Amino acid sequence: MAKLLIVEDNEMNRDMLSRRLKRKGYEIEVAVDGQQGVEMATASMPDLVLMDMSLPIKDGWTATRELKANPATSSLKVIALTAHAMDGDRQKAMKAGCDDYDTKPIDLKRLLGKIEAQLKQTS
Amino acid sequence: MNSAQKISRRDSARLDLLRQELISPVLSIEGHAELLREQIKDEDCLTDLNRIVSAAALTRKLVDEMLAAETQDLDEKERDSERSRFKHDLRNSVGAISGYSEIILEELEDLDDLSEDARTYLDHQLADSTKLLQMLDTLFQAEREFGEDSESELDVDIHSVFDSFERSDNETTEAISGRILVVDDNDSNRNLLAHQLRRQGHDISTSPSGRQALEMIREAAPDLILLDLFMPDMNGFDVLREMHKDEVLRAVPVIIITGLSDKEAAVKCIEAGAFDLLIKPVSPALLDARVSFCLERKAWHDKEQAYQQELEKSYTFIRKVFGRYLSDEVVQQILESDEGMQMGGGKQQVTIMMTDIRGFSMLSQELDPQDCVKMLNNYFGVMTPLIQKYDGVIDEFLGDAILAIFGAPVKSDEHAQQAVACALEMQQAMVEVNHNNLEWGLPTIEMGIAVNTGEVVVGNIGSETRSKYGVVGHHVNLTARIESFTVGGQVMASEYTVAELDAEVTVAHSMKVEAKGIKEPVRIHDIVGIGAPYNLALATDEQQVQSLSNELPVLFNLLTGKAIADELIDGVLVAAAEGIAHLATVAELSMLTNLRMKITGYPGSEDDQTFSKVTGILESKNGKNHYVITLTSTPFAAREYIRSQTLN
Repeated sequence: MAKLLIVEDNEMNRDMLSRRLKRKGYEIEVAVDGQQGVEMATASMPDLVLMDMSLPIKDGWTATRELKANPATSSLKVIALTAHAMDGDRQKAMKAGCDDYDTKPIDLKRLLGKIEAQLKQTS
Repeated sequence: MNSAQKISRRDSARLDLLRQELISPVLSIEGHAELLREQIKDEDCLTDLNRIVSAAALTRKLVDEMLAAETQDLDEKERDSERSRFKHDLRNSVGAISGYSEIILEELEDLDDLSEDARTYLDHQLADSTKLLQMLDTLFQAEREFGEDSESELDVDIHSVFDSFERSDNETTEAISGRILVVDDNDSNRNLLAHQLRRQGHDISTSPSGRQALEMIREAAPDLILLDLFMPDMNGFDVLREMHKDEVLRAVPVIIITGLSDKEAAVKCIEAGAFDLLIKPVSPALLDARVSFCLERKAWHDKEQAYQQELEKSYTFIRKVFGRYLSDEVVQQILESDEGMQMGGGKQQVTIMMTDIRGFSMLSQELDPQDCVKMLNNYFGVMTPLIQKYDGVIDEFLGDAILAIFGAPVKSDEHAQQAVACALEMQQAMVEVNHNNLEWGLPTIEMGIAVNTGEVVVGNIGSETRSKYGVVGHHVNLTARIESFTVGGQVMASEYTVAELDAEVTVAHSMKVEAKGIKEPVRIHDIVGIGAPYNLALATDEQQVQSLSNELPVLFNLLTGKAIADELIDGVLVAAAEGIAHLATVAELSMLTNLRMKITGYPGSEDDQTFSKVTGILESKNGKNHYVITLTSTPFAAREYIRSQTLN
């Protein structure tokens, strides 16, 4: 069973995403800001990180760059989530090292597709 | 927008409009959430539902904050960052609505507790949130290029918002539909209103200019006008005032739509003739309600107008048909009564009156035309109001004759006695007629009146251009026959009329007459008075018949119909009074026989013909039959001559 880390400061988004992914059978961990996200990712080594970009304390881009820069966590798959549905956001996320990108609000089916695609690459 | 610039009214209106459009799906979501609450029993799902409700509230708050921020003085960088923040937050809050809706849907499916209603409500929430996201996307996409020259850009993006809005909402509700003209110089406002109203099934035309709108209105007046108050070329207020000058356009309801909550402007508009005033942003529900109300009212107004026109047409028609001889009261009655207006023709029991001035054709030859007209006008002038007084309708003036109808077109149960009473009063009024004649140095006249009652065909007779209400039937002919039996001063009523009388009448004498084309002989009554409620009696002219100092020998022919018998009969006039004479002859004459007479020794023209009628049979004397003859058509000079032969 794949373990996913959701880094999301918005309580409702966090709640929704975690519940819906749990329902789909994933093991879910959550972090509420970028700093906590990096710490938890490093500590529990999830199979995939769903990273919001607009996060307090440490934003998603910084957190992703840190994870990708750290050899211990550089193999972690990171999917960026952003509410800014613009082309620039996607580029910015990919540049920070994200493996994929999706927009909020979440289209669960689409997101699941992207998650599975990343997990397949890992295994 | 630089710091010195205050937000313009139009910008404000646009933002109001935008707010309206962004908020309405949120309100819909909140409404469905309340409906869902009754469908959901599961505690966790109720918690999620509450999250939807708070997300919706947050969305509304963010929309307001975002639009408020648009009116603030910010530099481009600050504005971009503000917009970016709002976009992020809005997407999150709207995402929460759709996310939790999907979660509830899944949970309830799992619990096997998803009712049809709940599914419908959740689907609505999802659709509304999708709609909202689309609108936000369109809005922010456009705003990325939002620069100094912002006005048209924002218009365009609101366009697309509304277009997507329209695409996503195919629901139409049927209401009263009408032709509505939307006048607003602002493209987005105009298009929004047009879209909203088209969805309600109205036929919409639009104009961006007050002046153009006025032209359009003049060309074809719509059922309703939605009019912006502030327009560059001609403002709404002036359009209203122009419309008010036109009698037809005045009737078109106008709803002023303005972004200003300006009470003074409102009052001015209402004073200038506006039906109502709506402040932007106009809620679609309120707009629909007002529009429906206006259209309904307009429909009623139009109906009323049509009715008025119909009435006026009827009035004109009746006036034309009846001429000036119908009293206003009768016209009013015809217009007001349902059955009275059956002008097409129908059988109806009426009383017919015919009057005739005795010997008028002869008189008219003697008088000069001016005097003749003067005399007739005097006569008709006195008789017309009397006939109207008894609810009679003068159907025709034929030369010196009057044909009047009682009991039609306005039905009356008393037409027979109304006619009889009228006839008696008309005879009394001859005093006045002759008084005038004498004053003008004109000869006096006498009138005979026949009254008959029966079923006739009444209705409009004639062609399209000249039609006349009239009576046709054998009773009309019979009346004419009876009239020919009358002598001056007489009111002859048929037995049919007398049978219909409630009032008591005094009959001087009665007789049976046979008339051409009428099988049975008809009894006719010489009526000299009528009792209550009319109480009219003719002054019985008890003038003494005076013997002539010199008996006047005469030669006469008998008249049967129009034909004059060749045989000349000898006779002698032995006595005379005003208009009558006593004739002695060996010939046997029956009552009402018409005679053409030549008076021997009469100094007038050889062509002068004297006509008389046997109106009484006296005792025979000296082997001769004596008759009373009434001089029906006798030259003035001849009358004077006969009179001059009396003893005194």
